[in-house]
Amino acid sequence: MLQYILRRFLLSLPALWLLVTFVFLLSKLLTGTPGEEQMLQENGGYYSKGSTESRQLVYRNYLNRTGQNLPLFYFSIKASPEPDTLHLVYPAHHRTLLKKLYWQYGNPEAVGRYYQSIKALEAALPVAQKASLQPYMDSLYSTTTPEGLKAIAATPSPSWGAQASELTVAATHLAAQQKSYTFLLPSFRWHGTDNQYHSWLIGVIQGNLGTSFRDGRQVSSLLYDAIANTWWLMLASILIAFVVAFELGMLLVMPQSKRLRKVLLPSLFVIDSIPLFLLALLLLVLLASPSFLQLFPVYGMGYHTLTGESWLQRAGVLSQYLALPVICLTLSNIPYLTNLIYRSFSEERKKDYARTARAKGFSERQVIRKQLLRNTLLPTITVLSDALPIIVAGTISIEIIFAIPGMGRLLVDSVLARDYPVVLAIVLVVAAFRVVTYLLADIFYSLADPRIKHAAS
Amino acid sequence: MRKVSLLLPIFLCIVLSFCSQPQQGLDDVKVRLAKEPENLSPVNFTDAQAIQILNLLYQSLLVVDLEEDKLKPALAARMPDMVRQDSVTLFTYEIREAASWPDGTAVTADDIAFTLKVLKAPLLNNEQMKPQVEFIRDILPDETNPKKFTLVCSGYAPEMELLTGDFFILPSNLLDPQGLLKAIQVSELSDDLSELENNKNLKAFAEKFNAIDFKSDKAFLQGSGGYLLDNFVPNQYIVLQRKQNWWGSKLEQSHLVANPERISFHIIPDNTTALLALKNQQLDVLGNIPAAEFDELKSDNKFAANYNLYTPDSYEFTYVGLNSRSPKFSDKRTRQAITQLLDVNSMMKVSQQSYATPTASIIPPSLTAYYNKNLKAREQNISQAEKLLTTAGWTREQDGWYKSINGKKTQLTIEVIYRAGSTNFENAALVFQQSAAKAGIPVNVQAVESNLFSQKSKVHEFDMFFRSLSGNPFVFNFKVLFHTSYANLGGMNHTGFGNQKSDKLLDAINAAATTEEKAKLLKELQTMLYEEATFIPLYYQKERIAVHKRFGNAKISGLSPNYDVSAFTLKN
Repeated sequence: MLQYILRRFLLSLPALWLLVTFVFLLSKLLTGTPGEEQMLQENGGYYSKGSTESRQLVYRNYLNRTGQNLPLFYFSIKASPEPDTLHLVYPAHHRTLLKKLYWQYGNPEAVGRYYQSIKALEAALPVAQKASLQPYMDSLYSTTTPEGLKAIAATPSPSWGAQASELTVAATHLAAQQKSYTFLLPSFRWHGTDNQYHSWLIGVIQGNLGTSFRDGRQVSSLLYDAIANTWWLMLASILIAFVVAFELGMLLVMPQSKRLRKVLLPSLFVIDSIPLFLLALLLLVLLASPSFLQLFPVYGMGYHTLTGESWLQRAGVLSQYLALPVICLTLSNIPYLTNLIYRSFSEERKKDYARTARAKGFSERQVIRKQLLRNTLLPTITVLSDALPIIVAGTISIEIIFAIPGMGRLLVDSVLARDYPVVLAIVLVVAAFRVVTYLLADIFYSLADPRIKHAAS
Repeated sequence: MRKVSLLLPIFLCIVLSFCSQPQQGLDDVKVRLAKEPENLSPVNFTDAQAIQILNLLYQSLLVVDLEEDKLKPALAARMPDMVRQDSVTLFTYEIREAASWPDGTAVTADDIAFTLKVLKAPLLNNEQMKPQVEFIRDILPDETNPKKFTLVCSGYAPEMELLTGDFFILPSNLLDPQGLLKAIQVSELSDDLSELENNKNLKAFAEKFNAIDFKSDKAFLQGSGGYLLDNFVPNQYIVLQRKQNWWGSKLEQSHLVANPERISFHIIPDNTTALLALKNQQLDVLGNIPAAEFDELKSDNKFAANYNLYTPDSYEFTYVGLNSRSPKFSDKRTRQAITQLLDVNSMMKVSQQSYATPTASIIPPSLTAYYNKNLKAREQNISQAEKLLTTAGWTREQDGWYKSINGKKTQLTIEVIYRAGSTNFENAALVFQQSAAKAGIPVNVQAVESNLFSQKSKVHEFDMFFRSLSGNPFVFNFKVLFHTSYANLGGMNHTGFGNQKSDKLLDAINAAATTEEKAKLLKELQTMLYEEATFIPLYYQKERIAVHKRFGNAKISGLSPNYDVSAFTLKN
């Protein structure tokens, strides 16, 4: 058995690695980087706090400092005329222009020369004329068609100086040197180990999940805090849900529970169809509001004045804060579980061994609890291994509504702030957790049904 | 199993028996934060939540007194003396005699120099604040008075006085006990910094400074403000404790106070939860209450017995931008016609439940000295809009308005964009869509993802947008928004407003010596903006705040964070 588990565990490692690699690459393909919006915040206003240029400079330095300017992966495949350094061009509209030109003309040298000539002209324009020539400069930064370039080559006034004639030459040159369709040729570029993925992966292997972009804290300590809270929430709700579901399932399957079935099954269906966040808000308004029943505190996990007491007292305090969230999560899981267990009991009840037990004189209650229980465990183990990730997803809304600092909230906050190191670490933890639950499920299978153990070995 | 079924109700009873209401500390002000501040670094904070907390721990040279919405000296003894020379402006400050750090040492010009170095140096986590002090080129200490110094700033802009006093001052003794930054001069920290990046001292300092946990490290999060960080529980609460014998409280200045013994900030992301916590009296202060809920609270007598509700006029307004560069809207009369379709009152009613003040100009109507009263707030007038369209050369056909532009028959259609996720803008845009439909103009309303929205407005790829802007009552430098030098691609003048005359006017506003002159020029600018109709302010919002009745002196204001929690006094 041990050997089997070890083998399963080792087999799951490549799957874990693939998953996290995909998430890493996909998340970095999203537009925007952490801090970008704040650093380049350009809402204008009653006065300006720093010029656009200095903000962009600061932002580029930030990318350098945090290693976000490095290539993403060991290699990249791009359209052949597009240079590697395009993503370092600022401001954004220059980058857009260059990309369009590279693709359209397929001639990096000619494009580079043309772009430099526009910039030189812009820098050389006399201040007095700048305002009146603004539309013209804007058109330079947005024109990409050969006809447009020809028109540009015809317009500049010689009075603007040598830069104007250089622009004319560069534009004509670019239009003449067009190498169409070269963008269809992919070019493979090797970046070596100096890339973002490599440094992240090496860190993870060495047990360093990195630091959060938002507050510079170690991701591992952030995760530790968050998981601790979510863990209790999950554990309590799963345990209660299972116990209640089993009790209900056994109650429903009794022959005398016909009336109960008629009432309970539809009402479970109703509870199941209420979205979790709505259920949470409903319970909150009903059980934690002075306008109805004020039984529970509304939010959080207790306040600072309570620290320094014995663990029992703290557990007592914590339990009153976690009671409502746990009830919510439990309620949301009970309908499905109860139904499953009830169905499974009804199946087993019809089997021969159950009839034999009844013939031997066992009461219906004894038959259910002593004979059928073990066999109905099998499908529930499958559900248990699947339930954990689903409950993590469920805790997101619970944690936000009840203001509990857990994994779900951490994930949402980090995704919104594009705090990739945290997002990746959470994905890694959830995936690893899933692997572990599958292994646990295997172990439980063999415990519940020894026949499976023999088949596995 | 039977035992389990018995145990379950017992367990539930025990849980319920635990449930009681949390104890109230009377002199503990509990404030709600919708999200945790990303960090509490005084040189790299990113959000309003951090500013609110940092303002209690640290001080700047100047501070806004929310009681009067006026700029007042905080660490500075008085407002700075300003001298304008050719290409530089000099601001001379003197620090208050009593001002001191928690360890008892005095705040001196050395600390200001140190702070500027930390703000401007490379290699440090200071990206958020760095651009804001870029204009301060040097600091000249006074040789006779260690508390006096002069800041040398490049050029001149009216906001400079505010900005020279608007950064948190750091204790050099605490953060740089070895004096690693002493040898570096502030003047070296402008322009090219590549050489400094290899400076050994700076590298050593950066390593130490960047490693500080500016969120929970009580030893380093210490400033000259009236409070100290007492407890930080991630994503739950942040507690500040009043300093014993704080220097500021001896001055008896109403804007330098630290009244409550404790201030705790509770992080509650969800609005409904926050409201319930308020009703349960688990919170003392709640801002940003949704309008519908605010109305409900107003009519709740039980709630009114415990809380005061306030609706100060904020300095944030919603406006419409029309792209005057687009051939469809280049004619002023077309834009004016579109303004006649803006039903501001309905927009306010739908999105703000009328907790807003309509405005005809960018200046808030509450600033009566500067607001141009001759302008009328926009109202819906469809027949007037149709008349204007006709004079602008549009002809009404069966399915809309047409005009020949550059030899091509073009229909007048408008695509309205707004930042996705804002229901306020969405509602306003839908109200506009309805009015436009009455006038026969097809309007397409589209929510755009935040990054893309900024991108689109920067490269002028829009017809019309809804967005909001935050202002203040003391500095009016509208050059960035309206000057033609900012109208380039990527510039901040998105709507393309402006000509030589308006540029001159903007410069004159910045140069105005007296309030009267400034008011006259600002009114002129407002008229110009009104007529040009590219940048169309709709309404100023009202904030909606609840404060517990056991506190007085809340200093409610339209300026963020809308109350001064350090001034709260406990009523009997």
